[in-house]
Amino acid sequence: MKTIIVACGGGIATSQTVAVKLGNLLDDRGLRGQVAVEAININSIPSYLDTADAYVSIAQSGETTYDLPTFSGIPFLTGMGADEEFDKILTALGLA
Amino acid sequence: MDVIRSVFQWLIDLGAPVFLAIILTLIGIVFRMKITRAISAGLTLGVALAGITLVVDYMLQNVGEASKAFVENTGVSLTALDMGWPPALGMAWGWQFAFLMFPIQIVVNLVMLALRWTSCLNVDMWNVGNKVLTAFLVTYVSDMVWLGFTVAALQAVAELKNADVTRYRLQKLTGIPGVSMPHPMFLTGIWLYPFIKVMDRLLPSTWNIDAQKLRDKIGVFGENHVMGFLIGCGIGALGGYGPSAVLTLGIQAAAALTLFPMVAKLFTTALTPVSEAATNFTKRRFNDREFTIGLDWPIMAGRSEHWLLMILTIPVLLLYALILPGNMVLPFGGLMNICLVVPLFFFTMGNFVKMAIGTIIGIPMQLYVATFFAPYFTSLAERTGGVEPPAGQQLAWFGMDISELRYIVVDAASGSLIGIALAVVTAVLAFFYFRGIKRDDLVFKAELEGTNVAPNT
Repeated sequence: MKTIIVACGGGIATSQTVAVKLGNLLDDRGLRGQVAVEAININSIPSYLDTADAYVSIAQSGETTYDLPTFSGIPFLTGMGADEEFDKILTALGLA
Repeated sequence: MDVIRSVFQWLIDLGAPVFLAIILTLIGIVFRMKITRAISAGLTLGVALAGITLVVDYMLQNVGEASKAFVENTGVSLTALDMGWPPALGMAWGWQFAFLMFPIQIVVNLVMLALRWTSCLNVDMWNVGNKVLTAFLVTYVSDMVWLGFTVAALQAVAELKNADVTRYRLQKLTGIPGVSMPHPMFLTGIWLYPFIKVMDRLLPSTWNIDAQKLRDKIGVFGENHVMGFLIGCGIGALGGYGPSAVLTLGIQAAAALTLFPMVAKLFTTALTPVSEAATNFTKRRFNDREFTIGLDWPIMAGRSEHWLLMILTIPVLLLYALILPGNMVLPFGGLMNICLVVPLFFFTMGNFVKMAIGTIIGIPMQLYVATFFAPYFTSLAERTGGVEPPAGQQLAWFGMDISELRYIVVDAASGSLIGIALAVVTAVLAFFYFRGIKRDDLVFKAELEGTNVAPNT
């Protein structure tokens, strides 16, 4: 089981929107059972560094870089370039 | 007509969780979702509402009880417990007319795009809840549902205009082209703008600090469980609890703050499929047009200034709450003051010193507005979730988006002369704000084009 974290201000709205969309994309590829997607509060990222396999950031500008493969969540919000970014994530998780 | 009315009444009488589950399922079917997906979304919404009731009740049972002891022990009358934005906006969905806001926002956006009054396509459907709340507050005071939705529709118009005149500012701050930010909290700029201009005159923008380093050290205090534990222990201690009861309350308060987002995200889970359908519906109509995509604020949340300032001003907030005469709100769920700090970040371009000054000036206003609206939120909780605060206790939301504007609009809608006078002042300020901020934005645009900024990385 791989874990993807998505973070925003509260772990409620923006990050969960991205998490739901990632979940649907995983569903479409039949990978739902192999990857967990969790929306969290941006202040809690350090607590997840040991357990997460990838981080989907919606706020990369000015953000600290963490020791995790990091991807942009913006394509999943705007709908532009979502498939490409999703493929990159799958490749990094060894699921492509 | 009578049949429709009585069917609708029967549905409402089923209670908000059941009513909303049915309505969302029907909306999903109208948008041609698969029937199982539609039912799943509907049920998730019902679960979200039932869940939020559960955690608010839990908060009232422990933190609420302790705050009563705190009032008796200290004599400081903080009888309205702040629940913060996740429950407050969540419960707004439980209002019986909430779902009317979806079509209203979409129609407002479509009409404005068609008339070229905006270039923003707002895909942030979570904040439809923010307009539901405005409609509820105005309806509550005026008893006129149409007036509530008229004001909410005007808010949607103002949000889109605001997104247009700040898009290059946003691009400069985030590096992301083609997006804009129709979030209501940035309408706070109307009242902030003169203050910002004065600060820009008086303070050199070189006065700044390295927020990242400090945040790395104290960031842990911004985590819900840590923050909840500390504030819970504090309330217990001041309430005269013994050591073991203090620690127990600390854990309970931590649990409440940790569970709020876990439950509130269910609203997003339930609403995302419908919002996707709505977005696609709108996009299809404007395929040939170039527009900006309107997103929620957290695309700026990577910067440390926000979080550092929110954490550092928690003690200031608590001190204000204790000493301000007439304040009744005990800050708890809304300790992280997003709706003031983030607009300050946006309008000062992330200057920490100016943000801090603005926050310290703004908190008293927010506390008084939260006190003013406490009966409204208590009523919202009672009627949508069946939450029953004990006698003498109210629920509140400290740090509500556009606190000042909502207070002014609601006070004016109640016919108060002060409210109407403030609304006139707001209109004048809004004129100067939109003119000035647009001019600023053109400067950012020129800078961005001149330096040929790298696209989204």
